[in-house]
Amino acid sequence: MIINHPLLGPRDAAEFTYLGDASLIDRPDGMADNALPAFIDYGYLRDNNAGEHRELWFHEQGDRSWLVVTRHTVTHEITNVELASDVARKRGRSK
Amino acid sequence: MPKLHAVSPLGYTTPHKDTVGAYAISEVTDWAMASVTARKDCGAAVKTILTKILKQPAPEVGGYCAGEIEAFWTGQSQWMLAAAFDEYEDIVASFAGIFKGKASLTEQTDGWCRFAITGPDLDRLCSLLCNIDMRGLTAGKASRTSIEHIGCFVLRSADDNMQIIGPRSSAGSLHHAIYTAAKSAPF
Amino acid sequence: MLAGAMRAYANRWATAVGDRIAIFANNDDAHRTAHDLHQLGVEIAAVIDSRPEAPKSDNFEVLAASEVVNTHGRLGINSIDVKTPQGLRQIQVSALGVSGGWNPNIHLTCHQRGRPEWDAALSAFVPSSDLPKALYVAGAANGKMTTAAAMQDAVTTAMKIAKDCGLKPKSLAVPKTSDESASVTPFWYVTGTERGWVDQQNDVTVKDIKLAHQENFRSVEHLKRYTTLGMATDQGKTSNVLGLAIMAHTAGQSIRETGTTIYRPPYSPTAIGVLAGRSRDMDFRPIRKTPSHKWAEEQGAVFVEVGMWYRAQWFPRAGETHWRQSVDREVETTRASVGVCDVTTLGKIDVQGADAAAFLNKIYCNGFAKLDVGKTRYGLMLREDGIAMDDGAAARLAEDHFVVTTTTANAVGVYRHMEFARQVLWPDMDVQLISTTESWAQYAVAGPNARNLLRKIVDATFDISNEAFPFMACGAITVCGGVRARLFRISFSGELAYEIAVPSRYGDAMIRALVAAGEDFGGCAYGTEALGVMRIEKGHAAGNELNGTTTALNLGMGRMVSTQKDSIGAVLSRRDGLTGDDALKLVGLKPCRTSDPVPAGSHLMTKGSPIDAKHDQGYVTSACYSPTLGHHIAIGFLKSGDQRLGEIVRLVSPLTNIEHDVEVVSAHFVDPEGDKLRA
Repeated sequence: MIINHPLLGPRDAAEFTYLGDASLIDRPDGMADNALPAFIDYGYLRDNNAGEHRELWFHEQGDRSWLVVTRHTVTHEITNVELASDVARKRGRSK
Repeated sequence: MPKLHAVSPLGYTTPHKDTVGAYAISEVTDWAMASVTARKDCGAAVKTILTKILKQPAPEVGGYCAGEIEAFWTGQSQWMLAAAFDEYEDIVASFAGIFKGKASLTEQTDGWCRFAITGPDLDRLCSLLCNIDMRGLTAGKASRTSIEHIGCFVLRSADDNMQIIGPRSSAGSLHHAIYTAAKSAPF
Repeated sequence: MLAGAMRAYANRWATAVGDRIAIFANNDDAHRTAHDLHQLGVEIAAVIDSRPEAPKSDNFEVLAASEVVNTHGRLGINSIDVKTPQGLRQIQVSALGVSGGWNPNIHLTCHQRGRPEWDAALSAFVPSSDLPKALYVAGAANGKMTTAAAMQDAVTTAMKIAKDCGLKPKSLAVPKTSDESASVTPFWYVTGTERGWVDQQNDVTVKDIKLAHQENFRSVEHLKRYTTLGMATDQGKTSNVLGLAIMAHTAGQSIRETGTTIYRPPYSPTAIGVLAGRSRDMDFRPIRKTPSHKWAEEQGAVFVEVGMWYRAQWFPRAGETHWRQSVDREVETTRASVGVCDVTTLGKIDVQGADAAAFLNKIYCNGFAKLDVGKTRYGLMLREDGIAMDDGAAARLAEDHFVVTTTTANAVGVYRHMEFARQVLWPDMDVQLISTTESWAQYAVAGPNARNLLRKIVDATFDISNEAFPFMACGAITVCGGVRARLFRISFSGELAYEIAVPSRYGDAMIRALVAAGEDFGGCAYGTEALGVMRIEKGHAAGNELNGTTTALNLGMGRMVSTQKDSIGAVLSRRDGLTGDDALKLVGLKPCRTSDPVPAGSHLMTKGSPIDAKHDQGYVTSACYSPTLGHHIAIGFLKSGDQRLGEIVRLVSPLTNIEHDVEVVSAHFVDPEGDKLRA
């Protein structure tokens, strides 16, 4: 499998480490009143679809970027690769 | 008080050198090295400072600038900066002033072993070692990759000259891998 | 054997597999095999064809509407029994070839989970019509079983590919070939025999498949796993369709309804050595050596592999014949005077930036914002699910600069986790990370004489007195006349202790200098075993305790999890299931009879309770012989353990027949008040 890194171009998947569903970007606020149920959903509930899946990969043997890879779980076809920091900012994450 | 004598990553008092057929594999120990990572929103400013230090444009993504002081790109707004050990042993202190808090500098000198490899057909030699696209790694390019499970940087300064920088603790294993690959020539 | 194999041996390698051969078949192509063998001078005893309309031959006997029902011979075949319409016949043969017709090579079309479809006319599976993008199949693989049909299909498919690529191909002539007959009539198995072999590699018989059906393993996936049908090196190439047909027949359904399993790579059996290449023996993976490795080898150290690292376990001296003698001496020497240990393998991560302290507040469950510059603090890192992930010490070298240590085993994972937090969770924090594990050779110097030893090494301009450099202090210093170094006053052993770091190129010289300086005090080097003994004596958690199931509360550090800030794992660590009154707590254990061991892995039972999983009260995680106390000790987890100090519990290990009493005590066997650390 080849991952088309947004900065470095096509790289062998062996250089990357897989984490999981990109929904891990949306970490709840730990100080909020509903923090406990929110974290249980965040930690344990995942969609398990046969089809397009957005997921987090780390370019460990490369530039150490976290990436959001859109991959088809049946064919492994990769249709989009973004820097996770860009995606996170777009989803409202800051500091 | 005892005097501390330095040893090379391979454990020698002077840098080790091997000749394998047409290849020379030499341990390089006379560089000091520091990582330079731009602080938040300082990427452009740090590139300007690097350009001033290198006296040539700072390396872009995947780039490597050879010279008396050299640098290669390692990640977003992150570079390795290397300079002569004798002059810059405390490399972070040497450059901290010029970066004026716009970058985080971390000493990397002894974290790595560095092998200079000269000889013909380096693309094919390197293809035995790692999976990077060597034809794309032309002079002035650098890439991080994995060689026999060892995370390394591969720098290309000329068609027949490249440097492999790997973790110091695995210097022996990395040297063995390069040496074995060189022995496979002609491929 | 397969008739096709006989043909290949004869035509390609000029090898006859026997001098008198019979062929048992249900298709025309097998007659070609008989014909080829005959042409090459092999005697054909008979062709037994299950079909009434079998082709005739002038060169050999063809028995139509017949079946081979038995074979005779041991370690070889002597004769076969053939059931013909005229009755049973015995035929002398030296080999029997069997042929059920050809299956298209559909394997590649399955690699992305394409489901093959049953072609009744062909009695075989053909590629699914729903092929992956840009995959085209032509020829026999596509069910075109004669040369002429394959040529036609190739031309048609090539045209289609060209058109799909946006080209306008010229029409191509189809090469002329003979169109030999490929007629086949399904014949799946011989009835009325004791055993009919289906999978010749895994010895699966018709009887096995019927048994699978009887036991309700009827789906193809279950059939395969119950019988091992198609699981040998040929991956079912010769047996799958046969097995499925028998299952379909037994279940009274069609083969289409029964379906088929699919294939994954490799298509051809591949020797593991081909995949391994040079990665074998000592080249299987790289070795990581510490800066003191060469020196340790000279001392005759016994090494242990920790991940890829080689660490000195202990340093045997003359006269020591058992590892315990060496380890006990190293512990006793360190506690009595001073010991030196290479701790370079601990992960070190440089954390800088205006938000460095705020970032560590997110990463660690305890607070870091108020840590003074020049001080070190123990930090506990949780996974987001509230389980302890790793621990270490973070030293604040400047307002915006920390160096964080991780355990040896988790260095890579912790760095990855911190990059995740930095890039993904809090992308706008001003924080920069980089590993510096290998840049520094780091040595622990521990024992009452640690400071005295260091005074011989640290340049006199640096005051390392207890007042100037107290417990948990850190700072940049120089050693041996100007070599840059870092000094941390931290202790894993429970002794007055320091860790001193120099650039790795000086690491070899530094260990020699430290050990030589220690000799004046009767000190020694110690290895990872003595390190382990001393940390158990002190009750410090390590990998055995941070085992992926334990929380800060279990580790006795529940109050460290700050409620004043949002750190990773804090919320889920407070879940009901993890915080019950009977939660496991870290305790010390000592044997009631001092000669008894307290082995790790043993379980703890309340005295008098039944010894079973239901009544389990906890387990032992780390154990050792304590030379300081003169008996075995252990630490482990016990339900409500913090409230059970002084209780006698039952230590059991049914596997090794151990069962005896141990006392629950504080995990801090040595110096519980920490006076030595601060001396």
